[in-house]
Amino acid sequence: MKCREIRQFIYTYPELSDSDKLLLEDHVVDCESCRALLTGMRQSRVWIERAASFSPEPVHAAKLTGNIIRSITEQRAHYPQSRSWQDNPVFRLVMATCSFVLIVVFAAQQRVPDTPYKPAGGRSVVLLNTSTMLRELREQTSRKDESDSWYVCATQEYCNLAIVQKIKTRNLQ
Amino acid sequence: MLVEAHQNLVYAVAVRFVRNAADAEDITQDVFIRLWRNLSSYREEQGKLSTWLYKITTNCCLDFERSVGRRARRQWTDLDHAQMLSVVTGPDRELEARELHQAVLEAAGALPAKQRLVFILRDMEGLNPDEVALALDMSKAQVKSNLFHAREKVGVMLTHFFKQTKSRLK
Repeated sequence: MKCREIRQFIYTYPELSDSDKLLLEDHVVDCESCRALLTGMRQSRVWIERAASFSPEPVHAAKLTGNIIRSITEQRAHYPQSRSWQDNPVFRLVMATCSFVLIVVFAAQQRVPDTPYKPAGGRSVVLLNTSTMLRELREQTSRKDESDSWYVCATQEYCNLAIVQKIKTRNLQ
Repeated sequence: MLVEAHQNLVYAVAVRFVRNAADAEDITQDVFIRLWRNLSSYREEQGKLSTWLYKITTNCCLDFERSVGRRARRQWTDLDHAQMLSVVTGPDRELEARELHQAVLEAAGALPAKQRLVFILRDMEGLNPDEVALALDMSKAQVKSNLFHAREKVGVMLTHFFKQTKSRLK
């Protein structure tokens, strides 16, 4: 291995794998400059470890604790703590955008004419625009003499076909 | 209580980063306010509470570093050694640790913010590389690379510092 690569090994010695440590140790046996660097790094580590044993603490710890508690109490009065992901502003923005898009699609759909549609291998149907569909559903629900509810009508094929037939008849007139 | 149990941990990282007691106290206060605001979003799967606290602390430290350009930075000389308490025993050893602590912080102070944080968390706070990566949103390779550069620079500065001290004592 080259000295340049070994240099990185020297400074990250504590994080090295056992095999990399062996490579490093083999190299420094024959390389005087890397050996000197390793010795220097070990000395630095001793200094740093000793420095790290010195633990800085706030002079007035109790006063700091009091200030923190007071700040949190003040914050609590102004801002209620966020409760969950539902309060996330990004989530709220996404939900608002989705709602707006759905309203626009629904409104636009009212202007689209009824479209015949035949899925592959399926029966031919007519896609009603939302305006027609809503009107027909309102008519269905207002008819007292019919037993089917608007929900049954919207979900049952025979009922849809009856609506389509009615529209076709009306358009021919 | 959460604040009492963890304020020294937060303060230690902050004071090692900013090297100023008053700024470190401000950062400590900010950390606990952020912690309180986001406590409900903490999940155990995200790691230990202390790791999460380190993450908030490092973010506050970086925010502080960014804001430094907008206002005059307090002189770090007010980090009076008498304000610090030592865990080492014996007066001589304590004095030595204090001097070393000051020298190491001075050397680390010249590092870029992210390198400094990696160095503080790994070499001074003793976090393992995975915890450092989690706290700083870095890959393990980035942690290793930052450690390499940080230790290299700190090592050079410490050697220089001790050579100077030796020649002064002669």
